[in-house]
Amino acid sequence: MPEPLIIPLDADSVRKLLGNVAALVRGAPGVEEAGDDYIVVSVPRLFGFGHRRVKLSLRVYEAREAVLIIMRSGVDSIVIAVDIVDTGEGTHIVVSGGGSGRVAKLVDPMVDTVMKNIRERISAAHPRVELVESDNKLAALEEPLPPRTTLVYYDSFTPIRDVPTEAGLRLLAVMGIDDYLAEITDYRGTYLARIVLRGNRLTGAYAEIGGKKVRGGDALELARRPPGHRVRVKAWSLTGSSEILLYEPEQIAGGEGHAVYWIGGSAKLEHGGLAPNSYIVLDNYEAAIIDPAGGERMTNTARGVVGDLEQVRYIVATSAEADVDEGLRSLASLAVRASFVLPSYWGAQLASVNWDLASRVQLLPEREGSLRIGRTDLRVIPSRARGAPVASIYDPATKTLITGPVLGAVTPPGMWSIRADDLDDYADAVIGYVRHTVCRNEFREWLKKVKKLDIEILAPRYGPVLEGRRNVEKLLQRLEKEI
Amino acid sequence: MSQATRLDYRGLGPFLPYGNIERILRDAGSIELSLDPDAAPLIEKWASKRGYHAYRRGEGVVLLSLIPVEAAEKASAAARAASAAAPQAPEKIEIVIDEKAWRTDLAERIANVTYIISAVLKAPMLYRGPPRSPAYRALLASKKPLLMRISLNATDYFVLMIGNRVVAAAQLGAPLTPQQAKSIIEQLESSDALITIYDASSLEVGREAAKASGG
Repeated sequence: MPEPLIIPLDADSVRKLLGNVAALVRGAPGVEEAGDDYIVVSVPRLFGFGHRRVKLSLRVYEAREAVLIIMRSGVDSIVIAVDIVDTGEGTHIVVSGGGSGRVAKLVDPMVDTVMKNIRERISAAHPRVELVESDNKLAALEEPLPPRTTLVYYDSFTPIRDVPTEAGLRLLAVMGIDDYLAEITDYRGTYLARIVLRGNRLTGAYAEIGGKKVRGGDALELARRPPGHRVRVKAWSLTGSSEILLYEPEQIAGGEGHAVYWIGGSAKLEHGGLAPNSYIVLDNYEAAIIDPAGGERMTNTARGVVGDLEQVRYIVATSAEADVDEGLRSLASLAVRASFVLPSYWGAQLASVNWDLASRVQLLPEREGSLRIGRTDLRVIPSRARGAPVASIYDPATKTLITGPVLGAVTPPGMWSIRADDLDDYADAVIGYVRHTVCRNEFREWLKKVKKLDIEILAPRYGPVLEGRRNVEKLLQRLEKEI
Repeated sequence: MSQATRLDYRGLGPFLPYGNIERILRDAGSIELSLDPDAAPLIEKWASKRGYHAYRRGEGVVLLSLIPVEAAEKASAAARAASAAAPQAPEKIEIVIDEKAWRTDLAERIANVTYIISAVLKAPMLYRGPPRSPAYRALLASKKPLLMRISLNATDYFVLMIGNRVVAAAQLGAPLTPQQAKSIIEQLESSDALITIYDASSLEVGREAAKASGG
């Protein structure tokens, strides 16, 4: 059994790094020429001396956990299997192969070459360490960050050997080349490392571990060893990129036994400035997932919060617009005991295109109601937006109002954050959204209802979360005045 | 100021094609946006966060500019004056690598990130946009000390020039040789890179370069 190559990335990112798989056979002994859909190999003649050239067609088949490269011409064939398996502790790559006819003897050297080429590609993608003092200072936050700095990435991973460079590799594989400041932390609050990446160079480092605070090479050395099973990585683009990818759940309210988590998902803010939020309310081993946006990454994140997706009691879509379509489909096969709860119109919409889900849809009437998870009754507050019924969900245990599509904040590139930091800017972003998406009379009725609630956290469908009772009151007052 | 490109985004609310706005702004230098009035405050805040200059020109009309309007008006006036004085001014002005006057010491200075952050990025900005426009050519023809920041292939290069003559160049952390600088300039001329030109006469490196070349 060949030794697997272990890479601290998820399988999608590894595939992205590998790029054109067909080219991996180039340079193998006996391969004279390799195109995108053919190779020419040299094989010994059956009788006598010398070699003859054989042209084989080349096809690449992508399967869930493997890539197959099939090269053949008549009875001569070579099959190379590249297994790319995400074990949850890094992705393992194993290359194996088989063949028939005159070319069969080329299989073993070709397997070795493909493995060597994969190693080289992964190794080339690793950031090169070229520390400069000013970026060490930037990593230590002793230099001002450029004005365009914006949070673009928030996720976690399982480090293997060298945390800072593995975090850098992950960032470059997932987000592409840019200038980043990345912060790596553990879940116990004992490990903090920051790195600066410029292109594929790691140019600054800072670490705060075990009471020591160091910069540069010392920081890389101190931060090298994994502090635990998983670490979180938060990264800011120093150039103000418009693409965000936020799959690490952030607890926005509550504590042990009952909590509300936020998941940001992915968005490209240069097109309209909408970044959808998903929420999970967890109470005594039961959960409600609200407005799940995204596919496999989102379901993996939800699994990280809930543990077993069978514990999910409700999957709530406060409306079923384009952003939740993929999430509802992904969760349908995983959260097998969950009911899909939607306002009537959106339930009918979903059932019309997804017959399998139709029998699991629970329709919300246009009146106040509740959904029980664990020991908490989540309050359902109906409203209307885009001319159709929608819902808001109030969690009395944490005083969190998950507004659904009634509220959102438009965040153009560079203006996005998890939590709102300037109430005036936030109010402008919310007012613009509300004016162009909701029905004024119904919105004012909704406002009347929610103003009676004790709200500490306002969790909108799009854009940053607003914290603080006073801030929420001020925003609602401004909305009342201006809408 | 010369006539700004006009874009009509009325009826879109705040859900605007921000990427397009930014691309057009970088190419044109300034644009006038007609918006729904409630989208104007958001656009102004966004523009200022991105380092652009925003001016309200009426209800729902916002002028965005890469450089302050006053500076743009001055540059435009200077360009008009230069053009009036030299009506046969070339359409294209080439950047020349001055190997004889090459200053390795200055290249090392502009390779220093601290110097770039603390001095260069605070210097008055004269131009921001693509490496082709009358304002850009006017600056190269001006014989003034300039520091050009070239963002190419996700890397920032800094080029110290007297008018169109390059006397030092660096990328962050590494000074460049004249040959390397030549290769960057060749790439620049055939690319759509974003360049920013700072007034180097307010910088020590610019003054030294100007002095050495008799300016």
